[in-house]
Formats: sequence, C-alpha cells, structure tokens
Amino acid sequence: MRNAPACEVRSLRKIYRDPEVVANDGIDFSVELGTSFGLLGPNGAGKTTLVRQLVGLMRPTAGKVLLFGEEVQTGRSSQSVGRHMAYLPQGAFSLGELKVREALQYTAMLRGCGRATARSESESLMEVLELGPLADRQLRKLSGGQRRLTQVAMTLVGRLPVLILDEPTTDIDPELRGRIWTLLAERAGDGAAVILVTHDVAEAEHVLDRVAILHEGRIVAAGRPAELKARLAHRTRIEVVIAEGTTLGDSFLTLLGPDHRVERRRVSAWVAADEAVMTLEKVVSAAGPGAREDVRLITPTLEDVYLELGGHHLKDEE
Amino acid sequence: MNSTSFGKFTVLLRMQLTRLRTSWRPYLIVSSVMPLGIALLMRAVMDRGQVDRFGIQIVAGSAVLAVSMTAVVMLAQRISWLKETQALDYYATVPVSRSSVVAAVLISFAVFSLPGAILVVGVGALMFDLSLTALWTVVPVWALGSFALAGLGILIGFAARDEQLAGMYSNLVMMAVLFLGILPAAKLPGWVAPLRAVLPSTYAVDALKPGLAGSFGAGQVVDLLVLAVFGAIFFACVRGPLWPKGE
Repeated sequence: MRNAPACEVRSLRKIYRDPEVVANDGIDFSVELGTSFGLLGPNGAGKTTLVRQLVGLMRPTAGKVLLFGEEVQTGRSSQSVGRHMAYLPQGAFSLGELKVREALQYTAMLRGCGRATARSESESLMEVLELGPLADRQLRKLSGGQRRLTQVAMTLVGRLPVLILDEPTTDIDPELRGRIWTLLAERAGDGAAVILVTHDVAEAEHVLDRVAILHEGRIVAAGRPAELKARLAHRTRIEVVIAEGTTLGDSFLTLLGPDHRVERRRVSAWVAADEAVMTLEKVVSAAGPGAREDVRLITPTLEDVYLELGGHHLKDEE
Repeated sequence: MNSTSFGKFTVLLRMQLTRLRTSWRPYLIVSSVMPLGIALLMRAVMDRGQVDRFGIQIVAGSAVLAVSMTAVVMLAQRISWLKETQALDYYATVPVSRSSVVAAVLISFAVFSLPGAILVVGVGALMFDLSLTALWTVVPVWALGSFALAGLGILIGFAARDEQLAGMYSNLVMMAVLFLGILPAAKLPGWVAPLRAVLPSTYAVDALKPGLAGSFGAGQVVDLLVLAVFGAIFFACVRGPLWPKGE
C-alpha cells in the first residue's frame, strides 16, 4: 500500500482513566512521504500521547493510526512498525554502557542493515553531527546534549521511510540544532516522512512543510506555516529593548497601545501592519538614542499564531 | 548483507553484555559477599560431623543464592526501572521479536551471575572440604538455574509498581531461596514443602549437590529438566509484558 499516506491518523481519541483526562480528542491528519509535519503546542497539549499512539506504544481509546495504509497494532510485535518507522522518544535510553559508535551501528543492524552499511552510515552521521570525537565514549558519560544528539543519530541511522522525533533538539546548542533541522529537511527532501514534536517553533518552522497546533488535546489549527502566519499578516510586532538603567514614561508606552507586553527590559506590542513603520519612528523618537538598545519590526511567527489561538508562550512552558 | 533474526539476536545480546563494562564489580560483590558470609558463618559454628553432613547443602544453597542475587534481585530492579523510565520503548520500536529481547536479557543476567557462583562454589568447596571432581556438573545447573531465576526476576520487575516494590518483592524471594536452599529439607517444617516445590532454586540446589559430592545421577537430570520447564514457563510469561499493553 505504498500509494497510501506514510502515516494517517483518523478520528483519534485517547482518554486516560483514573483520573479521567481527555488527552487527544478527534485528531485527524496525514503525512505523505517526502514531507515534514510538525506537532506544536504547550506541555499537556497531548503531543507525546499522540506520538506514542503513532508508534504503537499506546492504544487509542477510539480511532486509528495507519502506517502505509495498515493499522498500527498496539501491544503486538513491533516488527511491522519498526521496519518502517524510527522513533526518538523523550525518555531515557536503557544502555548507558554502550559507546556512541556501537549505539549507532547496533541500531542500524537491528533495523536490518548489514555490518558494512551500518558502519558507513554511522560514521557519516557522526561526522555530520560532530560526534566523531565522542565515538568511543559511553553514553552514560556524555552530557545531556551530547546524549540527545546521539539519540537523534540513532533515529536517523538505517534510513527508515518514516521518522518520528519527540523534541529532538532539547539540550542541544544552537549551531548543532541548526544542523539537525537541516538534516531532517534533507531526509524529507530524500523522500522520508518526518513528524516532529518541538518547542523550537521559530527554528523548526523553516523545515516544516505543514504543522498542526494542539491545544487541550485538539488540533486548533493546521496547514502550511505560511498559511497559518497569513492569518496574522495584517499585524506586525514592534519590539524595543530598553537600555540598562533607563525608565520610560507612560507616553512611550501609550504609543504602543494598551495591549503592550513588558518583560524585563523588553517591550513589545502588535500594531497594524500598514502603520508599523510610522509607529516605529514615533517610538524611536520618543525613546531617544540613549534609552533604546535595540528596536525591531517582527513579522508574525508560528508561535504568534499559537498565542493568537489562546495558548501560552511555548518557551515559557519548557 | 542484511541482518538475519539470529544476527539481530546477537546484536541484542552484545548490547546487554556491555553492562559488564561498568557493572561487573557490583555484580560480583553483591552476588558473592552475602552467600560467602553465610557459608563462612555456618562453617565457623559447625563441628566436624556437621560439616560432613551439611557442607554440601550449605555450599549448593549458597551458590544458588549467589545466582539469585543477580538474576532475581538485581534484574527485577533493573526491569522495573526500565519500565518506569520508558527506556524499553527503544526495543519496542525496533524490528526485533520479543523473544529475542527477552532471551538476550535472560542470558545476559545469567552471564552476570556466573562469576559470583564460581567464586562461592570454589571457596565453599575449600571451606567444607568438598570434592571438585564433578565440578563440570555446575555448568548445566548454572545455565538452566540462572535462566529460570532470571525469568522470575523479570516477572517480578514487570509485576511491581515501582523499583522500590520490585526490590522488596525480589528480596522476599531471595530470603526464601536462602532459607529453603541452605537449610536441609529434613530440618524444615512441613508447611514450607509447597513453597519449596514452586521455587526453581530448590531444583537448582538439588541438581548441584551430587556434583559437589563428586557424582552424577539420574536424579540430577530430572532436576535439570524441571529447571528447563521453569525457564520455559517464565520465558513465555515475560514475553507479553515486555511490550506495552496500551494503557
């Protein structure tokens, strides 16, 4: 059933018992080969619950998950899921005594690669993700970020057609985060279906073909990032960073309108897109050259879309 | 060439055995100190006649206790931790059979229990002046006994709600192994007979005793067969819980 979507979710519902919590409520989406799909939302939105059902680790209360048209069966042998799908969980890895190189090679071999292929793929991934110097170090002796990077490499090794990654960039420094996003975009470009759960909305949105925003177990918005951001195209955000030790008067804040937001030295507000430049000039003039450290005009991001839909700041929830 | 099922099993086993890199000392110390201490204590308070009468029972019981410390207590706590932290997700999402994963875990913990068992048998034989002429019979007893006891350890690990409870349950089992294994059956009250019958350690001790006396007989073969049956039952029981039920 290779013409079926790589992963399809139909009317998925998951209810935890005792206490009763509706974690997922009527979720529908599909992901084709050669595309990337992001699941965004704050903690408790139901993202990880959803992902665990996708990989067969949790049984849906209702609805179904299809992998290349075949229903994912929970609690049965993982072999059919594992042949097509690689999963990066949030949780711990059981064998900290494994060395980085072994973890990659063994995982590739468990996914069916021969020894030579496993070795060459592992070496190539270690090079791209700068894991080479750590190749002979045990996982338990790595920092949190290094261990996460190794787990990402373990997910990519074996080149399976469906990749599901739950918070792949946690604890990883910005430069390597960029490499992971690039690598994932390349995998999607090479024909894989990539499903991502992430808090790094600003970085991830550049590699995602489509996203779904989850809130309280439901998808509250879905589409291409550009489509979602177009909902807010009539607005622009002005952001001013005030110089250390400077106090700005009410007249300055009045310029930004009643819904401005103040976080320490950062003041931001939404203004109408066609008035943004004019308002910015007024703000710059009112603040004076010594009072402002930085001034920016920011077009809406996916996180802004999420906030508009009634959520909280994604970063605040980490 | 792609990995075969056997190839994948050997990879899983190698992955499990990497624990020896850092954990061989705890495995050796935990499994041997207490059984050796008990054997030493018993030897210290026994006269020559008692040593002759009960030495084999004490060494055999201590050796099986050494295996139980690793295969039951440490394995139960390990499995419970893996379950709690969802670390088993890795195995549940790679294309390997449950049987391969379970067999790899069972065999690895059987291997971990070997150094302690050898140490206890060797030192115990010296302490109690036992024959080492049929020492080779320890090998099948260790292999089948540790496999059966590790199955019990995994079962406890899955059944316990958390690591603390797994530790408590497995220590209770270990106490039963200690008393029912080291004390001669004739000295035990009648009501413990059913408990002796359902503990695989009983058959491991009984299978070990003739070897420590320098002989090998049909009774030993029967005990080994019973251990194999226990191993098969536990193996079948723990295949299910390894993968999540879909809570």
